[in-house]
Amino acid sequence: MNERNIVELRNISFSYENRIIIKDLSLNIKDGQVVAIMGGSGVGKTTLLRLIAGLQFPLDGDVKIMGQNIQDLGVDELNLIRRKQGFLFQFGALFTDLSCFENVAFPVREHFDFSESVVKDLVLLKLETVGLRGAASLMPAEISGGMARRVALARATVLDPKLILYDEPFAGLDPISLNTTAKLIRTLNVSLKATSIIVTHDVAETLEIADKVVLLSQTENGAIISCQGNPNEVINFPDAGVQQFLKGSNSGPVKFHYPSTPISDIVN
Amino acid sequence: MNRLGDFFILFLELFKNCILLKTRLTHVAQQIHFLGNKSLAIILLSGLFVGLVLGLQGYYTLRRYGSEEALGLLVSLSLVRELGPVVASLLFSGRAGTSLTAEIGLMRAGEQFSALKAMGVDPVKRVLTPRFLGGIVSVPILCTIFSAIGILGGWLVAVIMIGVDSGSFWGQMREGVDFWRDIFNGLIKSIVFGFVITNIALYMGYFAKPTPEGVSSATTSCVVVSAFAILGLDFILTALMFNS
Repeated sequence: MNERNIVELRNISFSYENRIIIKDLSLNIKDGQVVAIMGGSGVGKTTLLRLIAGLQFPLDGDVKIMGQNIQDLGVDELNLIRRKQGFLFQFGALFTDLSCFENVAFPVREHFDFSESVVKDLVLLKLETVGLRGAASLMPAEISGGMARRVALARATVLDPKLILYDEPFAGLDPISLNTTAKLIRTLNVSLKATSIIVTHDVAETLEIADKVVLLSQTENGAIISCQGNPNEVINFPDAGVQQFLKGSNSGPVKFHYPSTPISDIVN
Repeated sequence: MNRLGDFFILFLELFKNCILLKTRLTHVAQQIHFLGNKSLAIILLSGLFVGLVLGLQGYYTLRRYGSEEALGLLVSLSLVRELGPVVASLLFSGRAGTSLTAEIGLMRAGEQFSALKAMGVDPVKRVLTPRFLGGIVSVPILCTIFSAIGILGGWLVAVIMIGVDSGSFWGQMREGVDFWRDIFNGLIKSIVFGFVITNIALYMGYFAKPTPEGVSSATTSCVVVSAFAILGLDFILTALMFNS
């Protein structure tokens, strides 16, 4: 593992209309790491991942990917960077009019002029990796949500990306698929010599495979990093909010209820 | 104003992609099949019925003046100048435009455009441009077919049902219909309608809210805005083309 930063976020801020999502956040991710970004629902994890992917741009601050500031790039240059990335969307985002095979073949056909036999070998190899070679001819509507996400994983990694971004890869998976997917993420990271960034809520599986964990928490001024480090450092981090999240406890500084007027005030 | 700006920016981008041929011809051919070929049945049936009704109504009116022989001229001028481009475009917007809007809107709601962007593929070039080209090729062809089948419907009523002389029907038509003034201007109208309604359908889908309500509302808006655009533009084009 070398020490080069593949992702550098410098004081980035982002808002949806008037709602501040991320304020003045900085983060470095080293080449070759598996990094987990965790935090409560709605804290801005997916937004952060989309900012790293260049699908959205920060209102302030810089996003550097592979040494290049993505805000300074033209469309063609940005597309070249994106080709070196794989993005696994939360619900797969498969093309519903294409079969599983064609979905995985899509990036290959778009960017390269390979012969049909090469495309076939490559796609079947990737589908075999996610255990779905037998489902190659099925349409996305004919497979389960978990299988769709595995097909999407094959599609995200078909061009052997250097940076793989996973948005909730474990959501809705059965225990066998979850465990297999977690191991697959780690294995792919090693075999492709890639860097993986995982946005997830799944504490136990993530802590097993991650090199670094970044925990986001919500403040009135948007998401901040409440702690980051290797899994051991995060597990032992002396902060009540961090411990509440890791243990899934309902008592602590993080409130389950969305802010509202107390019922007693409404009654009175 | 913002929406109008987005509409024209999208139109210019699509137009630029068409001029620079930044799309694959196989994708365009697929869209011509999907948009054009699959709209053929509704165009053929509607064109036939419109022609039949035109023949009947035209006969009832012309009979008062003893000019039944001019029925061919009346039917053909009505169709090639106005009804062909306008009705066929309205039908295209209802049949293919709505399906384009819903398809694009659902792709957006399902993050498929984000997936394309994440792969380094421009969704406007890859998804929208072939559909735009498919639409602007299909509409003039469908309008021409509509007019042709409508004239045939008029002939069925006039010659077969009523007994107007077949030679008079076709002869009056040949004498009275000018290629450049009538047929060519009708074709220009259908090309303009093709550009506008395909762009409206794509715009409505591309900028639809990514929710079921958003897609449903965009699909409705596609038909309503397209109908206004077709009828409004038809008035302007008619005023410009036939002012002498």
